[in-house]
Amino acid sequence: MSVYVMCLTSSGGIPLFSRQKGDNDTMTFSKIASLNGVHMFLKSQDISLLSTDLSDMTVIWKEFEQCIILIAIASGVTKYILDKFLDATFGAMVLFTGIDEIKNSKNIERLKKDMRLCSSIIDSLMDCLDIGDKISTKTNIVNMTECIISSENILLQTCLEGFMEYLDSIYGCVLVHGCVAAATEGWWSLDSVERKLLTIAITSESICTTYDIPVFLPCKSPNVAFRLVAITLINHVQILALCGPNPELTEIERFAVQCWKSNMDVLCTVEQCYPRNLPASVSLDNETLGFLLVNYKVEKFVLGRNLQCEKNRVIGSHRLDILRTFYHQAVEMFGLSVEHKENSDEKVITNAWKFTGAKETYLCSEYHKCHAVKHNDYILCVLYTSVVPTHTMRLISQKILKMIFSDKQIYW
Amino acid sequence: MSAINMNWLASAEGESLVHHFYVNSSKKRRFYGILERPSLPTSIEEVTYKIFMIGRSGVGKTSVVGKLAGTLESNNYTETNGIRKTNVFWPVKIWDKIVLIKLQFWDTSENSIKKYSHILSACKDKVDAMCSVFSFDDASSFNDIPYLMNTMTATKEKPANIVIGTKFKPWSSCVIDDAQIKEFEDKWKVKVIKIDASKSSIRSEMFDCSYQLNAICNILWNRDKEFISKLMGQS
Ligand SMILES: Nc1nc2c(ncn2[C@@H]2O[C@H](COP(=O)(O)OP(=O)(O)OP(=O)(O)O)[C@@H](O)[C@H]2O)c(=O)[nH]1
Ligand SMILES: [Mg+2]
Repeated sequence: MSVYVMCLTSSGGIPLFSRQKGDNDTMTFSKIASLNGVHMFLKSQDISLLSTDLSDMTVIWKEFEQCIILIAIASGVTKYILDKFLDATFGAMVLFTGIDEIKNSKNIERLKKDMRLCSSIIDSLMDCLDIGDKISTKTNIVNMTECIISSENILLQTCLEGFMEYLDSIYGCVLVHGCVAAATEGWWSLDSVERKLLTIAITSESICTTYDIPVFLPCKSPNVAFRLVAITLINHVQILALCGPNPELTEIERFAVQCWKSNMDVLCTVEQCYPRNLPASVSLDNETLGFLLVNYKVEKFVLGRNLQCEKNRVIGSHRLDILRTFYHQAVEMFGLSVEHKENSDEKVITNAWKFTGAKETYLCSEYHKCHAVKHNDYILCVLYTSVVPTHTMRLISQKILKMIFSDKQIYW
Repeated sequence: MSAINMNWLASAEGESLVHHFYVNSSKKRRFYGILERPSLPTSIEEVTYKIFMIGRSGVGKTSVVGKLAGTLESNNYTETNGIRKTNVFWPVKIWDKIVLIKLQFWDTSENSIKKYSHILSACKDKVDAMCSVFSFDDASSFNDIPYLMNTMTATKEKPANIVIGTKFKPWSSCVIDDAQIKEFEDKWKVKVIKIDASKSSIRSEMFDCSYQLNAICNILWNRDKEFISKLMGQS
């Protein structure tokens, strides 16, 4: 199974880049040209080509800002997610280059070079797709923010807010192994693509102590760059903040030390929560391998693991990526329906999930069972071993919901 | 003779401290956030230096820092975007005293400097050393070095000069030969620190770059000494 993404200019059909993942042949130039040709031809006939289904693959086309064509080909990925993936890919192009440069670049070679800056981000976005090629330790989702729940999140939140006030910024978060443990209200007000790109921009880089990277926000600020500052407080725990020209990096670091040094033990406790991603107070039964808890309004999720099972079982049976597949294929398809809201003055189209269909759904396979249940704005998907009786799944799922939502210490 | 004992890490005393820098019992170096430091006895003094990495695009600045920090993961090249600052803790024995040196490497790229004005000033501010990097397989990057070193003498901190040559292959001929290096060293009174960042050996990784890190610390130490003796001379 595999995924390809290609980028061309709308006007000239000049390829800017192409990336791929999986055990697949490389995409030849002639194939890229014909894929683009079909789209271009239909456009000249006033027809917009959106997608096509091959026996084992889906192809989707999308034009951005009347200047860039992105084409994705993938197997095992829903169209909805592929569409989100292309939005995120275009966002990644804007992130380091700015929309102006992309729209008005006279120099194609320079633009190609600029596009190379975001190639590791695009690779990470492809890792979020559900092409089932490898058992990765991390299961990420392209259109949602990955979170971690710890009993210390409230303390972190307070501390983060103090820190952000000093920076005179409203956009900040605390990352633990790449998962958001606490974030400001402003951070949640960013578009989900922006949130994803900002965290990937830091986590896809090799590790260093402090980053200060100029970034454009694809939705909020495509023309004016912010500074994305990331500081590693302790190994695997970072704070991310968007700020303006001031204060200087050294200043920010100095204040970060002041602000956080009295909370060393809190930071260490949160770090220990990974890879379980849950506070100690939430305990999972033996037949529960893990769960995916999604807030589909805010577009964030937590993947909770039962480490006890991980120890006792053969490697590979503990595949939390099954939950991602289940969520995309069953929950998003049947439980949720997309509502297109067109905002004509700003020319932005927001896709807001509105819950319509089923309230619960389940799936049984040879090795696993999955069960999903809705609770307010949340959807909980649980991965069970196949021994669990089908009718008890919902009881256990309810128990997990209760554990998470009745505990006042749990905040995310 | 250098004030820093270049082989100290391999001595019994050095070995007894090395494990503080590893992740648990592995031979992988531990990475420290800004709130952390190696758990050495607090009696050991810590000295911090800021080093700004300069040099043409693609010569290997980011790789060198990754190698010296023990965090280098891949040999894939992507141009550095913005500022990346990496702290490296390194224990040295200066005369008879153990000192924990904290090297702060500031790494960026020519393109970032060109595109965003705040980057150069942030990197140059209160800098202790300029580290000019060239690649042994690119003669023009070597010819740039005197010019790079000169751009810095203007800054008021009078930073020390460190020169690093990457992609060094001791057993095969390089585009830049020994005689050229010798001539350069005599003329500019700096020793070229040679490194092959992509090379990995079976030894624990920390010993792989101990020569280079000691050499860097030595240059910084000498600068401090000169600075102090100048101060004393004035008074
Ligand atoms: N064999 C070998 N390859 C090296 C060495 N140093 C760097 N490279 C390779 O050279 C390429 C460029 O290295 P970088 O460290 O990214 O170069 P840079 O100076 O940071 O480049 P900019 O960020 O664009 O300024 C990478 O593919 C490295 O793997 C070395 O000592 N030996
Ligand atoms: Mg670099």
